[in-house]
Amino acid sequence: MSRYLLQRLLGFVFVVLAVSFITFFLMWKTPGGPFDETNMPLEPVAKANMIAKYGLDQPFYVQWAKYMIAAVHGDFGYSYKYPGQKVTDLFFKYWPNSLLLGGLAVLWSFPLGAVLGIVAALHRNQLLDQIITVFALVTVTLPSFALAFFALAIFAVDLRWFPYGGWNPSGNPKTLVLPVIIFGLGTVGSLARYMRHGMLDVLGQDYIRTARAKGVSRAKVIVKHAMRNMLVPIVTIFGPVLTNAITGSAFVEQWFVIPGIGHFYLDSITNRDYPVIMASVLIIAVILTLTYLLTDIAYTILDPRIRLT
Amino acid sequence: MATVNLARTQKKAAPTEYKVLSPFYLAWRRFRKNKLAILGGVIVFLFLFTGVFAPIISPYPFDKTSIYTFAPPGTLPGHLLGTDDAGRDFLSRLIWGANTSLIVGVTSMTFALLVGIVLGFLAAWYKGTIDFVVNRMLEIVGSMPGLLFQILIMTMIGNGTLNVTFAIAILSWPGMVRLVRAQVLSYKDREFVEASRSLGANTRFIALRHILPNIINPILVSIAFGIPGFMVAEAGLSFLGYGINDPTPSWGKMLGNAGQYVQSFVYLGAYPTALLMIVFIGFSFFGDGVRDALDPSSERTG
Amino acid sequence: MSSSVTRKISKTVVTRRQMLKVLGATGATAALVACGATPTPAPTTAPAATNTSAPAATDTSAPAATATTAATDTPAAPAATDTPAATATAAAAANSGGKVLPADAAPPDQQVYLLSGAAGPGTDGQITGSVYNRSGLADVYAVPLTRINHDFEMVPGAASTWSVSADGLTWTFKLRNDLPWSDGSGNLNADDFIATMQHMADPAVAYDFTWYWDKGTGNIKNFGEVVAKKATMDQLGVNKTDDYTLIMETSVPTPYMPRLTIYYMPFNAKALAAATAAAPNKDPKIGAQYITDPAKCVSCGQFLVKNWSPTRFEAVINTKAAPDIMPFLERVIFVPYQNAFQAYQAGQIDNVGIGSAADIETVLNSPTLSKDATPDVGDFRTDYFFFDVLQKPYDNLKFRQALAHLLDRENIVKNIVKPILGRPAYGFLAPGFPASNEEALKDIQAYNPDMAKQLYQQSGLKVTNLTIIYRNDNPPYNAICSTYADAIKTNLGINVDVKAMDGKTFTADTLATPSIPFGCVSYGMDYLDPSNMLGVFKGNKLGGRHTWNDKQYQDLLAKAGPMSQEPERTQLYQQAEKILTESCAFVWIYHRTPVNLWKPYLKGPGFLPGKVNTNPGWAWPANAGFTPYFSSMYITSEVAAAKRTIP
Repeated sequence: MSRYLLQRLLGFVFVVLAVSFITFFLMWKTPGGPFDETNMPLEPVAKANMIAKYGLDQPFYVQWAKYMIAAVHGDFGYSYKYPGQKVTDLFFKYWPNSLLLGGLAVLWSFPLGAVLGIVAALHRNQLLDQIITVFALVTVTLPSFALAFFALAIFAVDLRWFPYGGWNPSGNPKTLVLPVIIFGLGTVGSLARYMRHGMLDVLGQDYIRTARAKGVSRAKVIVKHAMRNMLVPIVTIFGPVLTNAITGSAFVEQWFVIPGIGHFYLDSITNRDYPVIMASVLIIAVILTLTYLLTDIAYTILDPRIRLT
Repeated sequence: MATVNLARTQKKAAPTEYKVLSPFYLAWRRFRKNKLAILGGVIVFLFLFTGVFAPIISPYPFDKTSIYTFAPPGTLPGHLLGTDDAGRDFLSRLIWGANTSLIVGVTSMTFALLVGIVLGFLAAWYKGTIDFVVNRMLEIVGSMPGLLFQILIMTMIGNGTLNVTFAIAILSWPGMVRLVRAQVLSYKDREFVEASRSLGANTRFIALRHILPNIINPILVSIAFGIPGFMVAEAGLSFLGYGINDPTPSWGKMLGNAGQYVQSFVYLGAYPTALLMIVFIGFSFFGDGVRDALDPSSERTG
Repeated sequence: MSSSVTRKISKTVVTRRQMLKVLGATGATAALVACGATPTPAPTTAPAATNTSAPAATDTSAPAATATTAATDTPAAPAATDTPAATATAAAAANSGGKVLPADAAPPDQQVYLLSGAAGPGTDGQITGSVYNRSGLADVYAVPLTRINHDFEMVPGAASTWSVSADGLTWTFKLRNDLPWSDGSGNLNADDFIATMQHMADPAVAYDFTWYWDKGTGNIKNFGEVVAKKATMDQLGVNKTDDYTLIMETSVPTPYMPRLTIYYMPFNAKALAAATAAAPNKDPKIGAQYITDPAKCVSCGQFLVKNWSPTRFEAVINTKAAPDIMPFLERVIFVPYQNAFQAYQAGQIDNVGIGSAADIETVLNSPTLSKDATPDVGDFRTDYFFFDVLQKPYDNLKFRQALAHLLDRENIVKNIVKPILGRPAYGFLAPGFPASNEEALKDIQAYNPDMAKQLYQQSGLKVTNLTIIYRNDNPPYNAICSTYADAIKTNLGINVDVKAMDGKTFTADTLATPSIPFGCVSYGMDYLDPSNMLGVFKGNKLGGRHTWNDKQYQDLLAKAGPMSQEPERTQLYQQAEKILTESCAFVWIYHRTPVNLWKPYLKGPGFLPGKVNTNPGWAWPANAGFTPYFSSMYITSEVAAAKRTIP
């Protein structure tokens, strides 16, 4: 186990370095910079001052190395767009919003999706199954941006049941309702589909048939045998669902103007806010890698046949 | 009931039947019975047909503008679905949108397939260093936030059909590599492979004649699910403004562009959304059907 | 550059709706309404000449006297309007600043002005980081040196009077001595202005708006040298003779200096120094952010920063403000919304600008919304195509002319932009802008496919493919460029691709060599003088935007800039604009005329019809913080019926 963890840790360091290097390279190659020439070109001297101020006059691998060394020490630099604000401060100002949005969405959508999927599997090819399947597909495919638009037009503008955007978790919890529902819908659909498939797989296994043949009741088979074996697929899907929740949905955040990570990141690309882009990618990469690791460890606990090697 | 059973037994008893039934025929028989799968198949076929023959069936060129802008469906003779913000025939643009989606979806899929099969096979077959390298590559790409990286890439290389395909394809292959690798690993040490090897077959022969036919089913299924996934990725990027160039239409771009008009001219956003959904659902039904058909074990339950 | 705000006068409601109907129908009327204060609809240039170049001219030719007149008689208007209101009833409530609300005002807790917008990087960030990057309402935490009113006339700000020396090189601004800073550190004085200008010139701060004060625009002595580290800070041409007399020296006469100084927003010198000293490594670029932190906010303007978060930007009344600038409003709240028009309909904001043809359709079809709508001239923005004249095939004049004659502006405005939101452009300067000369330029780039075909033949070129690249910041560009592309394909048989590009990449590629060969972009004014708008085209060798470097044009601009005699100055600019248009290096598309919706419960002198914006409504620039009107607008009791929700 400890050797395995060490190995994974080394892999993790390597992955993070590689991802950061690729990101830095892409950023460096992207035209434009953290200065604004939208209306009038910058004066050459002024531009030179800005480039010097941001340290962009050095070769890119030097910039990258400097950034990474500082990052290891917890210093992700200062935002270009928000001068004087530490990237880490900004990040922790934005991230809780994504966490809240994603967390609440997972809280209602994960159980619902799982139940729907299992119910569908148990009623395979019956009307209920088909209704659930179609519902799941519609929620998966309906783009959240389209959904957001129509939901706002109906429930905020016409009916005025909910506020129009204006994310404000502490002051007005009503502002959370629409985004949480819309963000969760996609999860419901994909989870229902996934769970239906997983359940059918389990139900098709020999031990289930054996149990049934032994005369164990259907309900008992489902609860005692099938459900237990569903834990592995649940863990498998929970990883991506969780990371999705943690890293936020750029679309929902964009449309409801929620200052979350997705929104933050899109903004930082538009603004060429290099330290923020780097920090976002690094932090998300770390989260994703850790989730994979935790998922793998969870497998060994749930299914003794799986070994960490 | 009894008679039916009897008839079946009798049929099965006929020895000639066994020779005729190839695995694919059996699969087709199972597929045929699945109504949703058939529906999905029809949708997929219509989509492919529309996409391929867009130049022939589209009533107008997709870039032909006119002074009749914002005509809702049915209000302008000769334009069944009306016109868009530049007075272009909306039906023609929707038809051409299928063409764009098809190009992006199929090209990305081809890329993913090629990389997936080659890397997945190499990693599983030779293990060791190659496997190590491939695994690290998988981890790296897996740790990149997909949409965010695609946007970064698009910002760097600029919009365009080829570029958006590139941005999608470059991050699209890990799933396929994992799949192929796992499949090859599970077949590699089977008896028939050993046997073939002991008879002196070379790696290429084994790969093409023995491994590939056995792993083709899950690959087919993942193609059926992958293509609409790539189409939606393109739609999302185009929606955010990083996608296809004008005047080439794409459903995602039409939807993104309609955002500003949606309150007054709902049809501009509704049709592309609906099409995107229908095609996605069609592919899903089709993919589910293909999977169930190719995997008889799943039929045992119910 | 423009942003937001509201309107009034219930009598005008009906007429405005009728007017909107008319405007919706004909583009020509829109042109007239937007440009002419004068009842005579005849020459479009006349009002322009009177309202703009005149003050500029008087500023210099007869220094002290006229400048003072301009400075003293204009502010009378707003003052006159708010006094009767304020004194109307003794029973009316006073707000927390002790200012008595007008009789028809809503109670103080409803004196909240709601807007859509994100908190920018900082209120001072507008000046030190980037001018274009600033928050809405960045200009209400201090008093700018000068202000502009809704007739685009200069009125006093921190300076009560100003004058220029006989040689036109030295400006003397007499500052008010009664504008206290909210931290009790004293009154706004010349040191604050000097520290601010030094901050902007500081190479370590690396300010991006240096061109504004440097040679060619502001011409402040040694500004460019300090930026380039070739001169020391004490050589900068901004000084004082006493605490309330600011001296600005320029290297060449700059008659429009008072127009520039509306953006001269002072910092508190002591707070700035303290924040810089407290910053890590005493980094001035970090210390400058002193005002974004509500705890450290120091203001001598109408408001103080209260909340500065990604979801909310809130300013509250500065109860220590000088009595004459004390606002009626208790708070101004910005919340970012994806679609402000929907937020407006949901009753969550008080003003919204309409930019899309579809939204204007919704407005015109709605009895309630159309009552709230007012067209205005915005920031005189003109959208145009440009060519990189150094690249083939665009180096061929005949080819450029052929393309120019293929743009069907009338159709584009009528069917894509919608007449109420724009006017076909035949020149760069929109009607109403000083030196605008549309009529005389009408034929140069007129839509004429036959002539275009001939010209293409004469050019001797065989072109197969072109790409138009547009900056994706204006929704109709997609349709406009596609229509243009189709016209080129139909008439010349050239395939044209249309490509959207994000702002930063577009700008970088436009300014690069070689530049974007065929692009589509816009420009709106920074200050109301032809030297600003036409300066965009002075060529990249002189710091302009594009690769068209025309000697004759450059000479005309250089000659006209420091001049003060009229009408000679205007004539020079008109001559220059003609050369510019004839070059066909640029193809004018349309002048934007934005429509703003104002909730009916907003009132104040800023909402009265003016000479440039003849419709009632608080049009830009009047609604910006650097105008006098933020002190005099208020929310009327009608707000109760609107069921407004304060977020």
